[in-house]
Amino acid sequence: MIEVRNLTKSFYYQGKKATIFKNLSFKIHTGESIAILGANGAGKSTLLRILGGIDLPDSGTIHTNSTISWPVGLVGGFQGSLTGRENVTFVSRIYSEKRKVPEKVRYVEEFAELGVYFDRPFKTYSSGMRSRVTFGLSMAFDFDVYLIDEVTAAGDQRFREKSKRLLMERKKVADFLMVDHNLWGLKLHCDRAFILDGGKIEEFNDLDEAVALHTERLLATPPQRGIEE
Amino acid sequence: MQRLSGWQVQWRVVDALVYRELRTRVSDVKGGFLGVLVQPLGLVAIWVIFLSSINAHRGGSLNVVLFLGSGTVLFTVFSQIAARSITAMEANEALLFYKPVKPIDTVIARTITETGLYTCCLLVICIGTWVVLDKVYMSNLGLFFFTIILAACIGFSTGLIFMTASHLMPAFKQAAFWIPRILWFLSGVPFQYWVFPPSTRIFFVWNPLMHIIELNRKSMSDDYFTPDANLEYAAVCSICLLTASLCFYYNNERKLLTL
Repeated sequence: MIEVRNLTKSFYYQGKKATIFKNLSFKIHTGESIAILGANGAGKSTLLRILGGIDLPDSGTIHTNSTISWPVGLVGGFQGSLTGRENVTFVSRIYSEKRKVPEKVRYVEEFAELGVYFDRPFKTYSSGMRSRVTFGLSMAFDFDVYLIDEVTAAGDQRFREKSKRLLMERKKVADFLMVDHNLWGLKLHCDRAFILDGGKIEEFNDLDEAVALHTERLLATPPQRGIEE
Repeated sequence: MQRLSGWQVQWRVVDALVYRELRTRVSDVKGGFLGVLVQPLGLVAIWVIFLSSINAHRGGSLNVVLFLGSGTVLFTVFSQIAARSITAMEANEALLFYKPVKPIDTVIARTITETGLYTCCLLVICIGTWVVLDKVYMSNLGLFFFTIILAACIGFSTGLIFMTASHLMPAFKQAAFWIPRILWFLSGVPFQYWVFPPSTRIFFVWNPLMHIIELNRKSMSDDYFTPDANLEYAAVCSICLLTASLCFYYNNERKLLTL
């Protein structure tokens, strides 16, 4: 269960404050997966970053009794000078017992299928290679809730198929909070939807209705990105 | 996923960051861990050779290599931790992506890494000297290690203040690099402060690092003369600085994570 109350987030740029969202409140029950819809810049990724603990809100609270992943799909958590193996070892040392670290590293190595590149600096990887390691690492740990940010758009066909299968499997034991412009992928994995628009959130129990409204809004009017103050 | 206590999370994060620090150091040099050790050992050797060649030492009854090695290593423990902490957050920025990793952990990891490496260096210097001179210089092993811990503690506290202040005011970064350089002269690294006129003592005796270095030298030779060195003063200063740095950090942690 995740309960969000009055969440507000803003950024300052050149002295101007732009509020991304204001007083967001919602509740996600255990066993339901949510699609977060919204135009580019609506604050979907920011919301995931706050739920994942990478960013802090200006105000508001998040209560949960579940373990929440970092946003799967974001490649920000890797040190460029370290190899893929070293980066994976670093994260595994934090999220698992020491004796299980080799097992986690092996899992990611096998999933990523990078061969010798797994032992080369992360900064030398192509974006597809980065996606493979990032996704493999996220799936190496058993979280109750996975925050998934645009993961189905990355990598080649083989990787996308593999990730899709893995997500379907993980869906049996965990919940997802998904951001994806591939609406078909959202329909496959999610039960409900939120639309983030103009700094506010709208909840929909019917995913198809939310997708239809979101598509209609996108095509009809230019998106409203945050609230400038 | 298994739920952990705060201390267990802290332990895992610091362990992982120390691993990352060592891996970065190892990938930068040849020869693995020994290669890593050679780097600070070389730095210490250069200082010892330079200071010996200009006859800067006033080692008294203590062997000159141990006198200079002790001063150089203990001061380097402090200065390396302080200087490297300024950039600790930037260097590990990508790793702050993971919720359990906080900026203070990067400073803790650097403190452990630097203290470990330079303690190994000092031990290598001590053992090397004992073998060459066929005499063991060590009168108080507890004091020897305690002074290293105090130097690390002051380095950690200073580093934490430097890191936080540099992040809040980027201009402070330039000033922060100069502070250890000035303190080098005021810590009696290459000389004994009391050989200068008594009126100059005030510039040295306030500095807890001077006390720590002198006490470390005394731990190796009981008859080493040091009139003002005071363990209580050094310990109280370390605790006060640690408390102040933690307060400063915790009051600004949110800004470090959101700026």
